[in-house]
Amino acid sequence: MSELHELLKTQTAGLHERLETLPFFRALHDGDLPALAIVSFLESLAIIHAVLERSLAEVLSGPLAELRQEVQPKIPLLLADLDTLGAASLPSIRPAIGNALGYAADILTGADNPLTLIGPLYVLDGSQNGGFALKGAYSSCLGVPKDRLSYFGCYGSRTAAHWKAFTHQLDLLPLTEDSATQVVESAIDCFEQLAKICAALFPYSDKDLKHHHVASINFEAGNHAMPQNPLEIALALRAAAIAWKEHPYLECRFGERGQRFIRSDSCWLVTLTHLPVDTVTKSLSWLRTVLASRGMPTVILKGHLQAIRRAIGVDFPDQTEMQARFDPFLSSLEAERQALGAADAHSQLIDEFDPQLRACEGFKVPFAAELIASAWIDERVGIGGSFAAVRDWFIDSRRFSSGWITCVNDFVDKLNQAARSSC
Amino acid sequence: MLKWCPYCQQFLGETPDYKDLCITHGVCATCTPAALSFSESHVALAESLRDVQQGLFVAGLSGNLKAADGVIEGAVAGRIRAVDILIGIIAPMLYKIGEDWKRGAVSVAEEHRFTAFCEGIFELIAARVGPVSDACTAEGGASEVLVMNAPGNTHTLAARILSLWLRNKGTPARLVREWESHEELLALIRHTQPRLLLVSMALAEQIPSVVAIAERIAELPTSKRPRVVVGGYAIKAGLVATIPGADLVGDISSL
Repeated sequence: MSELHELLKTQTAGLHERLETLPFFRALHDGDLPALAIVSFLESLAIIHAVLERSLAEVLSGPLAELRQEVQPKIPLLLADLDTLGAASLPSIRPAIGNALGYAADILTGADNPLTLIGPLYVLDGSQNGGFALKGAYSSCLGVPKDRLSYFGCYGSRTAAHWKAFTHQLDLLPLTEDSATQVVESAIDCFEQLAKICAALFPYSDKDLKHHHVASINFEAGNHAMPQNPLEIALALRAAAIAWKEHPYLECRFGERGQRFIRSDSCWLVTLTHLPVDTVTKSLSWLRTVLASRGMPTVILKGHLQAIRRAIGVDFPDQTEMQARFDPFLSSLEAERQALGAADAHSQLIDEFDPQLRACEGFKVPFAAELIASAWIDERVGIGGSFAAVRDWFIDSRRFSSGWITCVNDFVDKLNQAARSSC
Repeated sequence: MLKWCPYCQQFLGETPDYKDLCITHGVCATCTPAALSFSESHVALAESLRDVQQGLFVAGLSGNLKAADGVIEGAVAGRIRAVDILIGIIAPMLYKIGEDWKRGAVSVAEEHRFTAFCEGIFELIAARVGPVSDACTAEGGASEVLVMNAPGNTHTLAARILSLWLRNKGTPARLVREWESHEELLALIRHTQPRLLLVSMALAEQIPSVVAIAERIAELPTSKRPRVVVGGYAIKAGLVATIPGADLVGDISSL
């Protein structure tokens, strides 16, 4: 539709103007916008961009996919800024984060109609024009040099040229009048939601400050419980780092997003240590199913819990009950292995196959045999699909050599044989 | 499993296993005398419930509210009460979709879409049920039942369904949407003098806040103290075993 850009511009002009007159932007211009408001703004934007970019990534071809190609992904930029600003240790402005989560949920719900993604894409990418002009103001309010900020004005000197190319691509979208109306509605909604977020960001009251919201650790984690004691947060992040390092598989398979989730999960796990032991055990079983079904076999969770347990022992040596909260669950895992006759048999098989897998050519993932054996147990105890979720990744020929795949298949055969012989 | 009376087509409650959404049948107290005269028409009525369930499930997969409205229309014509569809079919489906997400069988986006669909069904049925009597709405005065979400539980649909269902049954019920402090909640309880306080709890991490509510209510004089009943996903999924001062229910019919 050749006039889509013009239509969007005229239909949202009033909202755009109103947004810029909000106290948030007035304070930004005046140089007295608190850094906390900007950090929570970036967290809110990260929540929205994460959902928008993931939804757009599912549009694989056609004009919308081409439009997406014009746009620089913002998540890496937002991650860098949040890291620079030390967001993980700062309180969040809760109402703004709540509004951003609500809006992200709306984007996700409507994403089966890709037209609803175009409006937010237009508004958010368009905001980079203003972001370029306001970068100095953000830098001054934050007390951080301009060159250390990545998100605001991310296209730099190419801003005008980028916008021209983007809007040109926008006008090439083959839309009917009805479709164009849907795009405009989604842009209007985006402006309204951003206005709600900015209104909540400044001015804010002490009541609005949630000391630590999980969004500051992982903007895709939703709204789950977070420890409020900074020592517990530090402990959780330390344990997450250990679990992450222990299993290079996580980085190979889930990348930066996986690292964020293991950090936010770690925070949630630490909050469990204050709940009744029955609830902790049930909650861990629940998380086990969530993770195992998505290709994270229980041996990873087990190592993570043990890392948290050790960290509690160091930071809170007197809190013996807190240290012991995971014990019944960890004991149940061991009992499960024994009951399946897997304890000794699996150890022997892992010892036999690990060197073989390490000797394979091409891409390799350490401790693959242990992970596959763990997924095999998960499947056996009723977490349907957990074994396939791991095995299928390890036998994907786009990733691994034929020698590796043969070795993995042999290992799986041996696991099954061992199970049959123990029956 | 979902238990319905095949004689009057009224929802009777859920029975474990809660993950299993099969429809089973019992006989409600009113229909017990008729239980000896079970006929083919009753079998047909029982079958029609499965059709309603299936029809709504299919409509839900594509988020087709128009189709869902047609299914509800047909169900109501077949003597099924619209509010019973909410509590006897939609609410358990919401639980099931949560379980499906846990197992990785549906994505977050699909879960959100299904919830949005259920919200749409709620609106359709609320409009169909029409305004309930003032005595049952009881926004200003006494309420037999107060329904609220556990602090931190942002999923409001289950509490809204429960409140509408109770009011439609003639039980004065009030949905407590927002409250700032325990004092405000206690003042509301003193004012409305409910017999029951129903709390919908989604996650185990909401335990401390629900325990705090139960503790404050326990401080009220016996004559002014409502029974605190906690339900919701956290209870059904077995994440919470006890809350001092509160009764836990996996199914509303056990009240």
